[in-house]
Amino acid sequence: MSRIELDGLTKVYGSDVVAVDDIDLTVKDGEFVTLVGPSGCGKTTTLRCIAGFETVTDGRIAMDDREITAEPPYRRDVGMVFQSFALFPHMTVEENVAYGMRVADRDFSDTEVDDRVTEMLAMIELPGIEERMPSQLSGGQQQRVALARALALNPGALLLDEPLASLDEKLRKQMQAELSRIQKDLGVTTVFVTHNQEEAMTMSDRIVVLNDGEFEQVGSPDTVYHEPESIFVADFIGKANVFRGSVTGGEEGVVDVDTDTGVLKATADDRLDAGTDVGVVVRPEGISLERHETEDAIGDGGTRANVTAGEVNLVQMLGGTVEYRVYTDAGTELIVTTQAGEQRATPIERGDRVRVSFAAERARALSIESIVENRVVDVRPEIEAETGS
Amino acid sequence: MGDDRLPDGGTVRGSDRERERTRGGLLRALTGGTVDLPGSIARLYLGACLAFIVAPIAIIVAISVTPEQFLTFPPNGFSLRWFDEVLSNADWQLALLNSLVIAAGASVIAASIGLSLAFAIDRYDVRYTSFLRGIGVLPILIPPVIIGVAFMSYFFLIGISGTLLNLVVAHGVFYSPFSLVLISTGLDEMDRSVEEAAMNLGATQWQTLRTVTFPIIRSNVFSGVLFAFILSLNEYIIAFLVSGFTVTTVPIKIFSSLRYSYSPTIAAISVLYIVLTTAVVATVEYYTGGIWN
Amino acid sequence: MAGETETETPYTRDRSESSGRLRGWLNDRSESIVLGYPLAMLALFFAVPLFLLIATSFYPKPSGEYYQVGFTLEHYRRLFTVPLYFRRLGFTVALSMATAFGCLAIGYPVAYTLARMDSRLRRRVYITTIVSTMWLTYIIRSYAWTVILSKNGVLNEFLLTIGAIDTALSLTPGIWALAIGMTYVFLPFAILTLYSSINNIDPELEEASKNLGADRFQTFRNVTVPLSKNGIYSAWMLVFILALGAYIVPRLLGKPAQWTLPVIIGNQSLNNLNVPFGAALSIAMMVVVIVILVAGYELLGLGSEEMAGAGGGTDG
Ligand SMILES: Nc1ncnc2c1ncn2[C@@H]1O[C@H](COP(=O)(O)OP(=O)(O)OP(=O)(O)O)[C@@H](O)[C@H]1O
Ligand SMILES: [Mg+2]
Repeated sequence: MSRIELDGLTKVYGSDVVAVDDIDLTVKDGEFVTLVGPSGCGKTTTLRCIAGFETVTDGRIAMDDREITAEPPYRRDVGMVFQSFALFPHMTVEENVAYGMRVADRDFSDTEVDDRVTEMLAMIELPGIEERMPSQLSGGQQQRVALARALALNPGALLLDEPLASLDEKLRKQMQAELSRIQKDLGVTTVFVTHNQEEAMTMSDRIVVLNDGEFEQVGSPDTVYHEPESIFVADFIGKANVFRGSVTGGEEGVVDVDTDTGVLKATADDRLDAGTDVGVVVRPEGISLERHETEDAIGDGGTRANVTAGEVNLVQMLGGTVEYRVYTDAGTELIVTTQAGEQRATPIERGDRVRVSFAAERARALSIESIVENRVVDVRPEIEAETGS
Repeated sequence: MGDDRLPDGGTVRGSDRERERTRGGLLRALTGGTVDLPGSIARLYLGACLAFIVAPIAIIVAISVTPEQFLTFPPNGFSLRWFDEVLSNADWQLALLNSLVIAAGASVIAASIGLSLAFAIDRYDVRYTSFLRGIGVLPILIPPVIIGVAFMSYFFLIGISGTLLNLVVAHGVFYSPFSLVLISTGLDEMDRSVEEAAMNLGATQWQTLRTVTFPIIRSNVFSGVLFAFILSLNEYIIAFLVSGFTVTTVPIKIFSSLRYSYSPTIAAISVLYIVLTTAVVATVEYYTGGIWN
Repeated sequence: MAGETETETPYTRDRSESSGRLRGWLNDRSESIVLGYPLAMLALFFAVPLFLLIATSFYPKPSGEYYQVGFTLEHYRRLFTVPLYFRRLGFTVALSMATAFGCLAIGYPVAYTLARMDSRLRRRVYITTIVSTMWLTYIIRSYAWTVILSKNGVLNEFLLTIGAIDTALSLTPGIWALAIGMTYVFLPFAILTLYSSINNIDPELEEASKNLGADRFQTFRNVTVPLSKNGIYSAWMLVFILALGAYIVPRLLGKPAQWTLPVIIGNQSLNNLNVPFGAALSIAMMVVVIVILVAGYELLGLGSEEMAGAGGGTDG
């Protein structure tokens, strides 16, 4: 298995469509890296550059220590699973899986080929379908055959472009597990592309968040979720509440931010000078709710930071969690989730007045400068709906 | 014609309302309401049109098996003597051979032009693709007599005329648009990632073409070849103008025979042509799963 | 599998660099070959002959020779001054339009019935039959109508036998034979073009219309026909263009007074050996065809492929 190195990779279509802009990435041997990002951000282009279907405009691509930037696709040691599966419609499953061996420079004996096909079909748990045509397979089966075909030659790396996108929810869950199992068993270096951020969270060793051809953040699912480096990432991965404001002061990694909701205290990694425009990001599960019967302002005279009041707009049961939409007195809508099991004396319902609070440690102040205009930030339900799980 | 009903033959929702509105309630009442009047009219009409299309050809077939010298209908008996006469006549044999050779050569040329142009338009980053497509399709849009006159004076000018090869080239170029359109359609409809998958699995461009691309568009290529073949076989005016009176094909010979007589031999050779044409069309239909379906 | 990845497995590609220089060269050069070949063929055997035809139409025609290289406007003058040729052009256009309308009128119901037929097998048999007659040379098909319509032909014999007429009618050659023959040979093109257009209409749209209370005729008029509008335009255009170029049907089924422009062109070029004048007539005719094609493209949005796509056979 191999390590993949992208060094300053740049791809420009035509004269001005910069699909991938100077990215550096090393995918370690056996690692599972997922590329996520909004539509058109360059995920597919990156994969196609690695597979050799696009001539790169600038930068280099290497596998282990061999540079492959200029190699044609058929001399690169990477397997690819296409979103459409791209099974050869005129060949049986067996011929599909054996294709790589049949066209290889090396001669494989018929028994070698047969053995390998049998082995691969056993691996994808579809033994005995050798003679079927692709059109006689279900979506999930086609998906597995495409995987078997890509892996039949033990490629140094595996590239998957939204392979699960066309499957229904249940099958997708099942295939996620299957794919993870096979990937772990083989230890094959994998670059995976998905639109589905939940899929990215559950399957990957590392997540790369791409935006407009550039990296927003690279890190483990945990890091990307809990320590987003930009509001874009916070917004794209999982759900986030964002309060816009500007820094008024602070000390030691905690800053005060003046927002419509009042002064909020939030952690900050970088030094943020007073006056900097920031967004304070709080995950829905970082906020707590309490019943708050009176109409007046917050109980203890407004001295506590990160507390506000509002009215519950919507209560939704989502499997293990309960999601509330709270319309605050300051005029923003917040998403709050709690564990479904959490007992309350009287459950909070739609129309109830509530007190909303969160600890400074659960809030991150992130500079707004890096944000692409149209993704900012006035967090409305539409945007969450788009990125929500 | 039992089951070819119009789809609305009283089976769709809202048919009750429709029935009330349909005129012809009297007829329906007389027939007990079981006759689907517009449906049967449609079927009758279809039958009449098919008869209109097939009857003249059926009459030729009938004449070809008439034992007598003069055209009679209905025929008084059955005989294959005219087929025998046609097939043992050296002139007809030569004409038939010429026609087949020209058609074979023309279909190869037509297919090679159509195939390469379709690929070039599809594959390479050539500009002016719609212009190239237009050029490729143009020959079929120009009246054949004009093509014929143009070829006639062109071949005359370059000093090579009246050979089989002239006809092969003329027919080949004239019928290349069919290959182009059919193969372009095949390439457009093909999922491009299938070729990328092949290369990803280690196939070179040539191997990909041979093992993946070509098999997928094979029926389109064959249809193009067969179309050019059958059309060349049946082409008259271009062949006649280009032949310079020295090469005789079956249509040319039928045409000139018609000036002098309506001998049943013409019906016999026509029947051979009908059989050949129908066989080729049925093959294309079979191969492509019905281009018109 | 898990353990195997550590050991040497035989199932890897041998990525030797030996794929050959020739192949690389071919890949680089392939574009010019793949594009160059058809363009060369079309240039050499299509564009050049056509340009030559234009040139030829300006060559003088000394008697006893095909032509002489030179320049004269004599042929175009003749074309414009002798009223015969414009009348012929007018007749050709009128006949072609009539044929196109006739084919539409007869063909549309057939195409509709075929498209809405339940039995696939029956439909395929019908379509194969129609397509087969379509590709059969116009000579044989015109010949069949000669046999039917001639003085001692099938039709006359039938009418005499039943006593409908006393003396045999002389129908061919003649305008009725010509009209029937033209409609007959081009009908399949119209049917197939209309069929594929109607076939693309989702039957549920018709059902929806009926569900909303429209009767069969209203549905047909308000839903089916508008949705197959492009098919109707293409079919009309296709038949019109093909009919303009028809040579054999007018030649065999029409009286000399009803011979169309292509027949005149053929005669000038072959029988009178006046190739330059034939060329001038060809150019005039081509201008008409191009104007019509461009009009079809601009007004009706038909592409060249739609017009050729149904399989424009030729009356040649
Ligand atoms: N062949 C091409 N020619 C020109 N521009 C292209 C081409 N392919 C992609 N692009 C552009 O490059 C950018 C990146 O495209 P890419 O397909 O990599 O996006 P993606 O991240 O895979 O999107 P999606 O999630 O929708 O699949 C887009 O702006 C796209 O329009
Ligand atoms: Mg993509």
